[in-house]
Amino acid sequence: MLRASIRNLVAHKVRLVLTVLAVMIGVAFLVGTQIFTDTVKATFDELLGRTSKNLSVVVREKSDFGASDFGASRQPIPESLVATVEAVPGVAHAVGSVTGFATLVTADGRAVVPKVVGPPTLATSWTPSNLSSLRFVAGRGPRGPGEVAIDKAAADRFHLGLGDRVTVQTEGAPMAATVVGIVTVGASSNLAGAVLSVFDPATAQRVVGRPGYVNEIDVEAEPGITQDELAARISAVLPAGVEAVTAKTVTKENTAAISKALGFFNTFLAIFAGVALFVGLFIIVNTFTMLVAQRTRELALLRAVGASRAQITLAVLGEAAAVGGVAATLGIAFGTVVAFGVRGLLHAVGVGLPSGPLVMNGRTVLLGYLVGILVTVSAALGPALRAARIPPVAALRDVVALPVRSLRIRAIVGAALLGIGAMVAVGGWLAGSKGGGAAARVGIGAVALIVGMWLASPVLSRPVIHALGAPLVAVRGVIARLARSNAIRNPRRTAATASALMIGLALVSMLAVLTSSTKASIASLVDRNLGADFVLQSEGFDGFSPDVAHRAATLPGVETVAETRVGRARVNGKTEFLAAVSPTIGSVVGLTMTSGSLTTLDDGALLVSRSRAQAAKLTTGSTVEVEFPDRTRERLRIGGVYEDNALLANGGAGYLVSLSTYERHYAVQRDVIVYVEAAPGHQEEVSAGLARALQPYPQIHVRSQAEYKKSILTQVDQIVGLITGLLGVALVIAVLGIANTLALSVYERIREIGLLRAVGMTRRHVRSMVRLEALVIAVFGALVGVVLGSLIGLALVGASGNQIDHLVVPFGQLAVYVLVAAILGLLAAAGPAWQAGRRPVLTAIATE
Amino acid sequence: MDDAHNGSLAASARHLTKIYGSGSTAVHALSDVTVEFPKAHFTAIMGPSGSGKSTLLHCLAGLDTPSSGQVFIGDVDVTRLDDAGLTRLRREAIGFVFQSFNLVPTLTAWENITLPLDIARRKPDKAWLDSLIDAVDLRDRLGHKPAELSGGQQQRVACARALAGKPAVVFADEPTGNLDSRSGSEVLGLLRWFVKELGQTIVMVTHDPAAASYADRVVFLRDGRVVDELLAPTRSGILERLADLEAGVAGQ
Repeated sequence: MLRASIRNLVAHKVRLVLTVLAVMIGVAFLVGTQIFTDTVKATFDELLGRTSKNLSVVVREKSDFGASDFGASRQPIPESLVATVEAVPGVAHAVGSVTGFATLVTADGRAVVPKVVGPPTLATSWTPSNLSSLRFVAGRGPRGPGEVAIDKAAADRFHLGLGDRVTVQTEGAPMAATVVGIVTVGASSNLAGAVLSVFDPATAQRVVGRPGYVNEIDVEAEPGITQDELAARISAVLPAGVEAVTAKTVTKENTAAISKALGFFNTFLAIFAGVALFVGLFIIVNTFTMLVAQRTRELALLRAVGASRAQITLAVLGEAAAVGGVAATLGIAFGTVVAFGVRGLLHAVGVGLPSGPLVMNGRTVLLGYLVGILVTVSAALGPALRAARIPPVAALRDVVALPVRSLRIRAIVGAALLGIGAMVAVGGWLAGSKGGGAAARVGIGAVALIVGMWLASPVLSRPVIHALGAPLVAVRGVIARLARSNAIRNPRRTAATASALMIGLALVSMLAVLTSSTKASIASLVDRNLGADFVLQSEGFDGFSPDVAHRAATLPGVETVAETRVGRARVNGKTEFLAAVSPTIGSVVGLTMTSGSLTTLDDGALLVSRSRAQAAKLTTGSTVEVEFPDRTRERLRIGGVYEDNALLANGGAGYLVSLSTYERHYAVQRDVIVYVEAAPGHQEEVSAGLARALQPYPQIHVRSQAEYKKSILTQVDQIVGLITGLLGVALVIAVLGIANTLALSVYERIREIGLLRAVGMTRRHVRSMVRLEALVIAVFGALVGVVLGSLIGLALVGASGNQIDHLVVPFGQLAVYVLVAAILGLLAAAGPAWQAGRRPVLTAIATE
Repeated sequence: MDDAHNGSLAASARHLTKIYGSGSTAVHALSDVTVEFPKAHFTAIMGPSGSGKSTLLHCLAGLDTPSSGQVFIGDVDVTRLDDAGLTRLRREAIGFVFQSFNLVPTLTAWENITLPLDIARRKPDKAWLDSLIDAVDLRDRLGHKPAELSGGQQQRVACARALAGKPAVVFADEPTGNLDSRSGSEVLGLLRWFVKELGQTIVMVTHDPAAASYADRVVFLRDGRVVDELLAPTRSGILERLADLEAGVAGQ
């Protein structure tokens, strides 16, 4: 039995190569993701662990405001605590450190910003001690005002060297400084993509902190004292609101924060691996159906000489396991390439990860094999069971057909799922305006729709392919008629082949509808609401000095300047996003008050968005308790309710306070976005004025309405491009499936092709026939996918409620997808078509 | 050579040799075979297994390439044609009937019959097809797929298909091999009728003396050579010659 299985596998190399490839790609992405995650964890564990050799305990503000972002959102603690901590028995050494945001500007006016939008521009203090993770690779530590050290990645990118003059921009007045040192963070040339500038403690306090305050205190233990013990001892002497945590905890937190920051890639790759494996499933099912069909007589013979049904099933499953094992092995090997690729990609966008060895855990290998083999075996289960049903007498028959089950039950279940899916999705769609789980309902509906469509597609394939083929038949005559009838000859196989394409294209089309609608909504939102002539922003989320707004305000021709700052606060015990705005915000972002007034902001009132007001049951005139990060609580009056506005603070803040309220409660004063409105007819003058006045701030982008709109749409496009690119790989797998199916079709129809040649068909005709078959199958899968995906996309748009208020179906784009699928189908047919045309007529028709 | 261009011949082979393999393992499937097939004649080729009768048919039809010698269909030298030329020849001048029917399962009987014309994009001759369909007696079955037809009916469709393009010659390879005797004699009667009434030329390979007795002439092959010929054959006459052939083998 085993020998027969092995021989069989070797005999069907080409078919198996396609199957192995399909499984391999899925496993590779899965394993690659895992390796990458483990590698990042390991390097940061090591990086942070190296310092924790000395670092025992960290003292910091106890934050309840979802502080994760590198601890930057924690409030500073009094510097006097350093002495308190140092007095605790067991403490060898304690160092206060200061962290904040600062941007360096080079002498030739370039802002030293991260390579990619996202990571912040950080400023930190450095004290000579063995507690710091900073390593000086050139120069020395900064001493006193006017000295700065910068990270190696930024120094390299901006060609900054020792002795170069830079301007340090913070919230206050800019400070001139000289680069005196170049640092690495452990072995890494920067901190996960952030730009780092380093000052001595007093300077750091002055430029990014508050004199007399530090952000955290790093503690070294005396020998023989455990971290936990020391943390407990220190905690005992700390005031309320300040905590002592072990270095181990901090390392874990930082690693988690970094993993989370890179999590986008991981989640994305994991989803993609899932899609690839799912699409691969169809190819495996097809392959094993073919292998069994080709060997019907051989299997029947085995049954005739005494093999049991179970033995036949096990033999086929064993083959599947072997194929899955080979594919998983290759996939695991290829996964390291994927991990390298991800690291390279991150490196390309400026995230300097240590170039240590990749970490391959036993767990990762196990996962790869488990998934690879499990997927293959479960896909082969159906064909294996069908193989067992071959009667022994089939060995004696000339022509044998596998028992074919009726499609009726499958079609009924499929139709039922389609109905249920549609109902759930439409339900979610309609629930959109009410909010709450609408998108999830559409998601569940979408899964039901896709599975239903897969089940129903064999039955659907006949009429659809018949109709699709009609124009081809009109043009190409009998060749096209034969191709079309070949395509619907085995509806189950055609459907499985087309399904792989269908799923890929459904996802891409859904994305296309979603993003087109999003873009249209954004464009109309900006057109309708944006009253400002200019929008001032820096890349990234760490904001810039209010000095920018002050400079703009003094320009001649400027009518209105509105600032925006963001922060977190606890409203009625719930952590919420809040924005601080100038009262002039109303006109620049088109804010509509449903009740109350914007001017109440200046009286210290709180404004609430309509959706938040509904959710939290807040009404104008009532009061609510707000807890700020500085641990003070205030009862604020609700001064008014405004319509939700996506332009507010880059995405629609739920609560608004005045700038002065913000200044009282937040340690850091940085604007994230500033709107400038010119007096009528003074746009040109203001534009020129802004360019001049903001020269010291090269990181600030001054954008007109049109430019602002474009910058947002470009961001959407970039994300879409990335996702489409990865889904493209799923389409490649689908194309492998088409090639696989056609190869089998050609194999099965050798004699028929020979006959056609005998009655006068040219090689060219034969090749055309195979290609046209691929074409109709591909277009069938693509069309069904595009239609299904578009409908799901539309339902998702509906489910988003007011967020996406334009329904746009990008017909041109969808048509291009179908066209691409058609071309891919033709490409997939190239091999099988060549095979079919190459057969000598004689061998094709000669009787055995 | 000039007699090869004789207008009265539908097909002919001259000094045809076919060798499979080479050196000590070389097999002479055909050795210097010269044979002529006059127009409007029904010729049967007979011989024991391995005598080369199928190879001769394949070479005549341009499905196989001879090692040396020439094959003429009408006055076209088949051995000089490339693949495109052979395809054109098969479209215009040759019809086939196979042992295993070889109908396209996805096409109806009518579509199978007109398939060669559709492929060649030739306009069918309505009257001709009508007379063929009446002859094969399938008028009420034209819309059926091959799977819905009996073996005899399928082979009659194949016969009509072979004749649809009014070929110069029809090659039949064991056309009754897969049929019961009643269906077989129906098909053979049909082939004979084509020759007598429609003036077609048919070359048939068979090992069945009863089938060969429908022909105007039987050509006997042994060990790749033409060894005998019988005009106006009867079943008993054929059996006699075959017995002689077997005896000849034994006597060698």
